[in-house]
Amino acid sequence: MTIWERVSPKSSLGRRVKSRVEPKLPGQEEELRAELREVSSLSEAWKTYPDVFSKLDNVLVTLKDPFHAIILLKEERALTAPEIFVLAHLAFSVGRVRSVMAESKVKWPPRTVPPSLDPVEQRLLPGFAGQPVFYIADSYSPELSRVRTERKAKEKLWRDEMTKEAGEVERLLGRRPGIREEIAIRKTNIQAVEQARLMPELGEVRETLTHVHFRLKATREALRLEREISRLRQKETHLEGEVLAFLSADLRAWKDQLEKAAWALGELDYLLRKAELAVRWDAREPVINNETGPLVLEGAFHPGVREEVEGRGGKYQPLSLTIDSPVSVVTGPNMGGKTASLATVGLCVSLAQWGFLPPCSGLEFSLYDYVYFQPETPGKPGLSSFASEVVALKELLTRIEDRGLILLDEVGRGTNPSQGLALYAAVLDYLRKRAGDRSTVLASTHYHGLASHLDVPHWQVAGLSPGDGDLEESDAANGGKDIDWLYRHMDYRLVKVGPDTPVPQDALMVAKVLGLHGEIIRRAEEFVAGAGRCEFRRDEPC
Amino acid sequence: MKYPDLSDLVLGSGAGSVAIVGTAKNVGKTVTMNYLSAALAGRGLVVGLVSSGRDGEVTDAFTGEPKPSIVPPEGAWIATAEGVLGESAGFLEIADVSEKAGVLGRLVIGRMRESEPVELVGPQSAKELARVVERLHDFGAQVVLVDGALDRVAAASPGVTDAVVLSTGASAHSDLALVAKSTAFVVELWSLKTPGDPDVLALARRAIESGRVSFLDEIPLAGSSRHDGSSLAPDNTPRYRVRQTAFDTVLGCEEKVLSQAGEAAYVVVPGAVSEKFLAEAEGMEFRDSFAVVAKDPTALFVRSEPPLPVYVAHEIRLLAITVNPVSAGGYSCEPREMVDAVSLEVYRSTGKRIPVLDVVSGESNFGEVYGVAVG
Repeated sequence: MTIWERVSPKSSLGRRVKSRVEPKLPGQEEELRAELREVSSLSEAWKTYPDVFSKLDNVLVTLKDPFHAIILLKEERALTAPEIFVLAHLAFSVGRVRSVMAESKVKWPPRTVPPSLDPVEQRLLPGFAGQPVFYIADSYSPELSRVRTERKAKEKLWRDEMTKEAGEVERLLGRRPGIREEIAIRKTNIQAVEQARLMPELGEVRETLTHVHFRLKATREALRLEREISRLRQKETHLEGEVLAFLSADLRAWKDQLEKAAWALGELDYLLRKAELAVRWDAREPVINNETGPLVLEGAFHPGVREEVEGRGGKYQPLSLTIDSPVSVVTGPNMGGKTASLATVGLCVSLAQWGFLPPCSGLEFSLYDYVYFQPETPGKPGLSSFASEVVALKELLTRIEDRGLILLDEVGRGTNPSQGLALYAAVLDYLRKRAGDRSTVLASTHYHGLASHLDVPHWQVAGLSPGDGDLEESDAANGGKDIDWLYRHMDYRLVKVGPDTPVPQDALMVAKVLGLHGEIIRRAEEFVAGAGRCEFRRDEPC
Repeated sequence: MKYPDLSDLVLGSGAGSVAIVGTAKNVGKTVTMNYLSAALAGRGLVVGLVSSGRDGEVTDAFTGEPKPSIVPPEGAWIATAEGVLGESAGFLEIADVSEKAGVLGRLVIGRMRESEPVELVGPQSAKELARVVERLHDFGAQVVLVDGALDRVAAASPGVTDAVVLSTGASAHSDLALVAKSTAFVVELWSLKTPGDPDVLALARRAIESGRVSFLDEIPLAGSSRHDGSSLAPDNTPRYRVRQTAFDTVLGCEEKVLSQAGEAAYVVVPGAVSEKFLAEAEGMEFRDSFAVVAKDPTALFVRSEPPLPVYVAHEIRLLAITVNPVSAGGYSCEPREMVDAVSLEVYRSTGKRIPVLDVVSGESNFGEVYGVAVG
């Protein structure tokens, strides 16, 4: 599940708000600061008054979507009873939210405070207590009340009449008509069948192989009552329609307030989800610079990766770095977390621009027009992974004039090593020259010399220290250490290094840790040291 | 001796939700629903009513004949689609309207202000249905009755209801013996048991929750050659392991799934189990012991007795069978004859004495099986 999918509003109103939000871009710094301040303020309040937020969530989770009903009001159409219930429920929820807000010591952003709908609540839920229910109460229309009372009285008379008749059947035949007022007499009981046929109270309805079925016939009085009841029912339906029509007309005067309240609750829901994440991540408000400046990240983490690491009992190492150059290079061993580091940088910046407190203890940056992340991409149909990479790079270059945070992960890894390296160096050089005054590029690679060749800052994953790779012979014989060992011993921090820093033998160490045959590892070490006739030292760019 | 009434059986079972499932159209399911809801309400209980899919129409969808309506008692909670309620729904106190809308609109939950005929239209899926049953309980329904059918069998799933009443009748077959046989077959199917080995049951339930067709492989033990083995393993040693496949269904890929069986002792199927799957499983030349574990008896779509051992992860609790001796086509038989014939055949096939009742005539058979030497 992506982080965006984890932002899960409790209500459809919150989901509507979520679907409409957009990131803040350069020029909107002040708006974003205000937005993030709101989240920060609410997340602090959440820690102090968790009960308040829990009460609000209990209301939000029950919200119904009132927009269809509001559209009907705008179109001046009458609402059905379920639609009116939805509006009654909205008014009730608004009352509860306003009351929780008023009783709390939290400062609520005005756009999240719904306007009072007390008159709507009183109109639609007269004299009710507890959970809201809506029905066309007698109190809405004295005429409806009178018709209902009359209809019920007539129904009672009808039942009395039919009961009297059923009693007569029972007296004569010894049996009372059952469900559906039917009585079935076995054909072999000829006398009873003939008697039933002669009874004015019964009408023959069908004959089967074994039985003759009779149904209780309505008496003249019962028929008269049935006609009366039918007439009254029609009138009742008409009057109920009238009630719905005048309630709809009353509600029409409130349509703007109803809509405003619905959006306010949606905004509240969405804002609470952002505050909830900030609490969970112990996140801080970032510093946003108006002018282009360094990107500083302190104690940053990727929530998904951290959960995965902690889920297997590992200890997550947060990321801290200061990017103060248009292009910076990251190197490190396989399994060293280069991709995760790039993703963390992109995630923190993206989340901040989308109005979330990022998962870090500190972030200082200037807003970007876009964040571009090119991890290792599987080949698109008909394209190799390298060709897909090239196509993606072309897309990136169409935005060269905008200010971007560009995160490139081992570009050129899928092709000839020397040409891949050359291409990567050329891409970075191009980006530095054409976009260096506005964009920030962070590029991961296995080519150790790329940073010094371009004369750009070089960040290196601290990785495995040489002692870590000291394995017992028995370990190697048994297939090496397991992945967990690697997780435990890998130092994922990024450390800034200079051009003279020796190239760590990370790849060989990882292979050794994972138990590749010792003979192969030793031979590879000889090649690296230049003892063999192999020209594998391609860690300098051509 | 006075035998208990259907409502006594429901109350005595302690079930909070009961599915009424018909074996065919016009077998008196609606009459049973009405009878039971009125009887429970008459004893002071608040009932809830919901349908799996659509039923309770004014006319039968197949025959066009007038059908009895569901008539919930006053004070009952019902769940139905807004599209069949009418605009005013004046008889209903509306207490909830769902977010999701089906073909007939959103699902409305409300309390009957007076007893009126209604059409019940509810969700088809077991998951949604279970949620509605829970909502009806939340609103105060003490016993929720779920209208179902063999082609809308989600109602009977143990994940939805606690117990089931099966309705059968003359409309199922024109021959009383066939009515009894077909009913007994359903009872037999719904009597499928969970695996006797609690470890197998626990693993099977976990495999079903994963949503993937899985195999349970026996973990080889020294000195034990059979999976059922009163093995030499210490009690706490796991004897089976779950091997998950990439399949979430066996439908349409029966052979592919079974080709991965290897030496498995059980195949656990999270969804529907077809006759074809069982035939393929039986037809493959496995070792002498191979069994299927289905989610529950409603997941089995078969017309004859399974050809190999079949277990379920969750059993169905069948409370009673109701019969309607009158068919829509005009055929009818004596209520007494029908309750006895069904009771006898169910006993013959399953060895179970399930109460059989005709709620219209009041005839019932609680196991005093005629013509059978019992014991």
